[in-house]
Amino acid sequence: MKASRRRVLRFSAGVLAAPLLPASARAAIRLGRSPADELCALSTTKAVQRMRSGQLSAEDYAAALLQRAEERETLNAFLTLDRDQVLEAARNADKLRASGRSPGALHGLPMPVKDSVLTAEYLTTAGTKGFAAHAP
Amino acid sequence: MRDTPVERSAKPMTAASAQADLAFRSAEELVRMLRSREIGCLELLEHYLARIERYDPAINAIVVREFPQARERAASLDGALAHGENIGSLCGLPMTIKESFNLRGTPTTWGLPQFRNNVATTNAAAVERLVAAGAIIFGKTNVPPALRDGQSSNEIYGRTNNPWDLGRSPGGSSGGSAAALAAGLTGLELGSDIGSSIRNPAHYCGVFGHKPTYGICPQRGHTLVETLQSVDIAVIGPLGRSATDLELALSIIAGAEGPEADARPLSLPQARRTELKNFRVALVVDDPFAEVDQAVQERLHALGEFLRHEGAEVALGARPNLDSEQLYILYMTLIGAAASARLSDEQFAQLRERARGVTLATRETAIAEAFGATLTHRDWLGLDEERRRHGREWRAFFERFDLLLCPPLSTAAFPHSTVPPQQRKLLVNGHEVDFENQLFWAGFGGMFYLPASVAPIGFTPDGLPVGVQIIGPQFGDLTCLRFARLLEENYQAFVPPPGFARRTKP
Repeated sequence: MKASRRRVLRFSAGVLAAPLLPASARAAIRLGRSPADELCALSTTKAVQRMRSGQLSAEDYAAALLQRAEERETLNAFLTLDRDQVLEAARNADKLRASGRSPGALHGLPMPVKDSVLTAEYLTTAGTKGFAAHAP
Repeated sequence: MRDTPVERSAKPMTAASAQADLAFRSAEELVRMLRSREIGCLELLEHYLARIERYDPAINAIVVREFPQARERAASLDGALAHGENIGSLCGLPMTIKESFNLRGTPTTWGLPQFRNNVATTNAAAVERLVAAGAIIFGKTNVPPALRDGQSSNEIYGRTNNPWDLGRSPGGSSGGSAAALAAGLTGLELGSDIGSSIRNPAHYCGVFGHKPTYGICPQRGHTLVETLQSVDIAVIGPLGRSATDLELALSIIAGAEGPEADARPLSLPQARRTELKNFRVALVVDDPFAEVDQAVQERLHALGEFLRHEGAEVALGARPNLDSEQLYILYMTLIGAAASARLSDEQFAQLRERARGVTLATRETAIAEAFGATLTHRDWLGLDEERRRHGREWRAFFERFDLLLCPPLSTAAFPHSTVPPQQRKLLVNGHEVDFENQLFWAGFGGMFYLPASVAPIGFTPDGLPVGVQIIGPQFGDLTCLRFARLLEENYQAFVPPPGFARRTKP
């Protein structure tokens, strides 16, 4: 909280052009973030609320998160990340919602799981060499 | 051998004789009479106490007696009822409990002389609940030493006899419970079961019993020395003269205590079926490892015929695909391990000596229990995993069937024996087998935490009661109990043993 306030102050003092920008961008700049940054900073609760209310598509949300993951590849957080599969799943989630079927509480939410959790679609290595090719 | 498919004759006889004597009525009926003031709490208690005076010398079931305290409580409950107070769902019902439960101010010895002076300072959780529901607990009933036998005889209290034949055992370890109910000496009973201890006494004495799903009834206070852990596979549960009494008692004693009670209130699923004709049951009458006496098999076959006649689906021989001897060894190992915390250091050392050199791979039936008591925690975890894998077979089985019907044990009540159970032989179909092999029938469902009711289904040619074990899916207690009730209403109800049904004068 404190950190972001400090950033807001820095920007208000330094960016004189701000009033000429569109409102959404102004808001983003006030928070010190691009629109994609803003999506990536959403809490899960807010993200699913927006998707449920139609303000945000699962595809846009997934694309923003994937974009961020690529930019921050040096963090080496993901062991498995299949961009196409994630986007396809997101598009399917949007279609399902559009068709009016009542989705679950996390519908459309892209989420990774720790590599110790068994997953049918991905390898589960538990960080051990012995399980390097373990496909449960 | 009678092989009339359906022994309908038992039913009218039952109803008539059970009505003849107040003492043999179901707890449900007695509660109704107490509530309507047809009879007073003290009056009903005195009726049982008079019968105990007269009949218990021959049976020796009620070995701890709290008669003066019970009279006082009965009088006070009568007073409360007279003032229109609601005194609970048991409404002043006189009842007894197995000696192994803590009842404040009475000894809890489990039949072991070294615990002769182990007087309880608190009540067991189930006792608290029964008392809060208005029960008058006027005594405790006999058990074998350490609850480790299929009969009920010990140095402290002596031997309990079966009301159907005094030369035979009422079973154990809840032997006093079943004998007291059959002889009409108490209204309701609370027992416990890790290896058939509710089920075989119910079967041997011709009464109803229910071994609940593991973990749904708190074990607190069913212990010699205060223990906070629960014992694996072990349960507490009711015995009665009617299946409805078991349902009533279960509704009182089931449910967690403390914070868990708020977070996870117990909500058992309703019975799967409400009519016999809709039940899908498997019927197993015999097993190659735990042979069953013909006299018991015949009653089970007759029950199967009756059920078919009623329109139920009866699949003879259908059962989970598990090897009986392997299951038995696993079961004896797990209960050996479960009971090990209670062993004295000397007992533990003896078992360790007996099991020396035995491994998971080499343990056999006779050594499994000693091995189980002394194995490493790692070995136990492996066996527990094995059990859980087998448990999946049972879950799949209960998608296809509602219940599995089988014998509670291999024979009807056996003659008293002074040979320790581990060395005892049992006569089955004319030849001697190891007495404890029949515990297969206890572990078959019990080791997987499954509920099982026992209901009387007729008699051997020698006139000894035979029961059926009704095994249901985990948490399917109400399905077992509903089926038992349907048998009681449509097939056979409790029959009092000859010689105990005469009316006692007040």
